Amino acid sequence: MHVLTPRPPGPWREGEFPVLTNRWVFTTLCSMSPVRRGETLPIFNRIRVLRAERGMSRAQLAELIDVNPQTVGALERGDHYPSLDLAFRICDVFGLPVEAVFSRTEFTPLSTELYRAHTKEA
Amino acid sequence: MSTASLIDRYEDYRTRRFLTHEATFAKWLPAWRTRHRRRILAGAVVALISAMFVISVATYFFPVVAIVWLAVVLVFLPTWTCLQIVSGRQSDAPRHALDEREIAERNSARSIGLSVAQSLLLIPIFALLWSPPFDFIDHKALCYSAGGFALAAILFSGCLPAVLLAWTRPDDDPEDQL
Repeated sequence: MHVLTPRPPGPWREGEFPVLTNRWVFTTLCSMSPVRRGETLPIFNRIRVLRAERGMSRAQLAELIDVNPQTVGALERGDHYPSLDLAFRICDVFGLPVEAVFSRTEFTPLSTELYRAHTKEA
Repeated sequence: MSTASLIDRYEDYRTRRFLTHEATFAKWLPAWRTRHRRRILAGAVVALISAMFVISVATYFFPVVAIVWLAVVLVFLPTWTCLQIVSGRQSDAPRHALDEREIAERNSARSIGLSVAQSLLLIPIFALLWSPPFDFIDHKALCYSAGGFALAAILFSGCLPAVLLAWTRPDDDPEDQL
């Protein structure tokens, strides 16, 4: 439930746009890959979970990091990958290091990670 | 005063003015802020500009058709204004009024608009450049026709970023408003 799964590389959801427009216009318009060409590597994040933990709305987080609430939604859905500056701003709000909020690999649920850590200590 | 500070001051002024306008128009046309209705407006803008292209070509053969251009413009202006209102004028917003995602989207849309402008403007340019040696061409009519076509091309490529952004922008997520 709390593991966010960004959609696969590609700027649209299946069936969202007509096939013809997928080819050129929307690829250009919606692709936010930081590299020139090639595969877009996924960036997973825990923003939604961390926000929910703190009882924070998208609008509140958006105000703290100075973006539109729609951009927070896009980040949570994996539609937009943040710049390093924005990533640091988000981490500052939650008081966590970057690797606790963003990852190249899917996050496991926080409760599972916490339970595992406690089990190891015991 | 240095050029940089002059530009900065102008950008600040533009941003303040944009935010003031945005605050004024943010609540206008609430029923038209869905993706479906935005697409209707975007389609109407494209259809009206397409009509301008057709009219500009038709004026070469029937100069009186140019009058229809005025009628199309009268319909175009309110349609375009509505599209700009419901899409938040993201396409021509100053840099400081947008966040990084919006800037990336806007730049992509503008890039497409510029490419389209370059391609479309080549048509009247070459028509005017290559027509002089041919006597069977009505050069006066061609000037009007090519001018109208260039005007429609500029208008189309200028509106295209807003059309693309309005078309692709998803419906607002209710959670964003909480």
